[in-house]
Amino acid sequence: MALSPERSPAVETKLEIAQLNVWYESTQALRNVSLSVGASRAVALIGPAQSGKTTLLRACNRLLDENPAARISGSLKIDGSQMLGPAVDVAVLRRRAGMVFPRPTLLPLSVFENVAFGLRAAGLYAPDEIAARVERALQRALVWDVAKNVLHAPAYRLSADQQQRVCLARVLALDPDIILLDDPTSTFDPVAQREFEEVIGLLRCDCTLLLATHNLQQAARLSDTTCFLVGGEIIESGETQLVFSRPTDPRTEDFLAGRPPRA
Amino acid sequence: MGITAFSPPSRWSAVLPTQIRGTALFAAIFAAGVILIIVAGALGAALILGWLWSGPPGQLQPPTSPISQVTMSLSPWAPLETTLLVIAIALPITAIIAGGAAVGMWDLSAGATRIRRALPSSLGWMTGIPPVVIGVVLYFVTELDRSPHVGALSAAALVILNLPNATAKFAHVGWLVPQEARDVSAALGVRSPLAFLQLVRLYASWACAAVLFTLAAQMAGETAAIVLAAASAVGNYPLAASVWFAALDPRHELGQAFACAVLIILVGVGRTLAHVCLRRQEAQAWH
Repeated sequence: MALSPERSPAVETKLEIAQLNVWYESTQALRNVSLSVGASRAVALIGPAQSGKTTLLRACNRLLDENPAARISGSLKIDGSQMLGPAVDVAVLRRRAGMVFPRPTLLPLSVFENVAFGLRAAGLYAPDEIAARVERALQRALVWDVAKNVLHAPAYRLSADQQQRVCLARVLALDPDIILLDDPTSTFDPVAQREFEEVIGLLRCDCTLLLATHNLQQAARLSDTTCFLVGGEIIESGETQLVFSRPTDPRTEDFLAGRPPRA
Repeated sequence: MGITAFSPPSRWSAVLPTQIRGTALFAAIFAAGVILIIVAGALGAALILGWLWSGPPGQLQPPTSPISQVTMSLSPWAPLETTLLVIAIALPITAIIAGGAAVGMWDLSAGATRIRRALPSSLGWMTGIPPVVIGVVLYFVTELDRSPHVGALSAAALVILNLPNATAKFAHVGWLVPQEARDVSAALGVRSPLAFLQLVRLYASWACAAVLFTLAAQMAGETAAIVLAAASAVGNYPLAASVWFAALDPRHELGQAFACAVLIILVGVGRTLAHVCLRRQEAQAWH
């Protein structure tokens, strides 16, 4: 089996997770998680705090490698290739599965340099090509109209939602197959949230999205499939409309209704 | 095919490749540092034993006219030139090796390994080598060879003995980078050594400069006294005797006082620059 994370087109299932378990020291954060995500599909991960949503996202691009307490077992395949094996180039994997964090985390650089940061790290040094890809990424993140006038000004001067879009553009510049969104609108007001959702809606056409969110309406609006996690386990998953309208598990029903879980 | 079967992993079952690479890199550099320090210690011990076998300098009869046997330069600038030369050799070498070790530690900080847990105590122990030990080793290095090679030997001794300290300082510089920035860098697929350089440049460049100035001042302080004494070394007598003779020589007093003042100023300037850089770093972090 090839362990390279190189792209292989024409594969229906983009991401396939099987029997994934994650421990932080002796605490098990994910239990037997299995999930299959098709290409250009959007999956929402919902659940209470500490249910394993962020851990699942971080497992997908192996950011858990950075945590000395984390240990992982199971299977995680992208385009049919195993991503947890020792031969996988983690840097290449992370460029293919980009991640947006809950708070906008910009580097102390200009807007342009922030977006170009990942490109240069990936070995792209041609100024024209970098400029073109930065512009395209900012356009895809719907922030070009604002950013084009302050392209070489410090990025922290932008508003919080614009900063988050620049963070998204930084990921998009690397042309990822999968985008992992870890509650990216958690610090936004409702208007900014809706604007960011517009961007996500456009990305659904050509990227596979995994969206962890506490905002149930957002999950309902943006996703094709919804997974409900509790205590590191996927309790229920299925078509978003079905999960929201006819949940099969009482715990899902309680969560969606905002009720405390039954004993 | 998963990397392990479904069962709670044992302590080492899921050590990931990036951690292994980081561990290997650091272990190699750290082991090299330990070996070099052991060699330096052995060299120092051999020199002490050799000196004891050949008899202490007190057994030598002072010449009737030591001034006539002065062989080295009496210029007050000579100690300064020698000190600067020694620092110019030792500082870049120390910075490069210690910087490399710090990158290894940065990589290692993402790995749950025994080396990582043993690291703070072992590095703390090694940085606990007091400057007086460095001074003693330098003294015996100077005793061993009064030829022009003495500068290179002193520089080598400085590199070896300052490595743990320099490594710890550079590692501290790495820890000034916020965790969020490390996460972002990792998530963008920036490889570890490059991430260290890029993020330290962005978040801790002033701290890096402060480390370099502190090291330079420290090395100057460690070297200056010995070099000052060596500059007034007399004939074939051991350094201690030479210093004694030179101290008795009224012609040296003014020159030595001047050289002392210049070297003290040199150390002070290094420390002041380091302090200024740290203040800038604090301002940068606050911003």
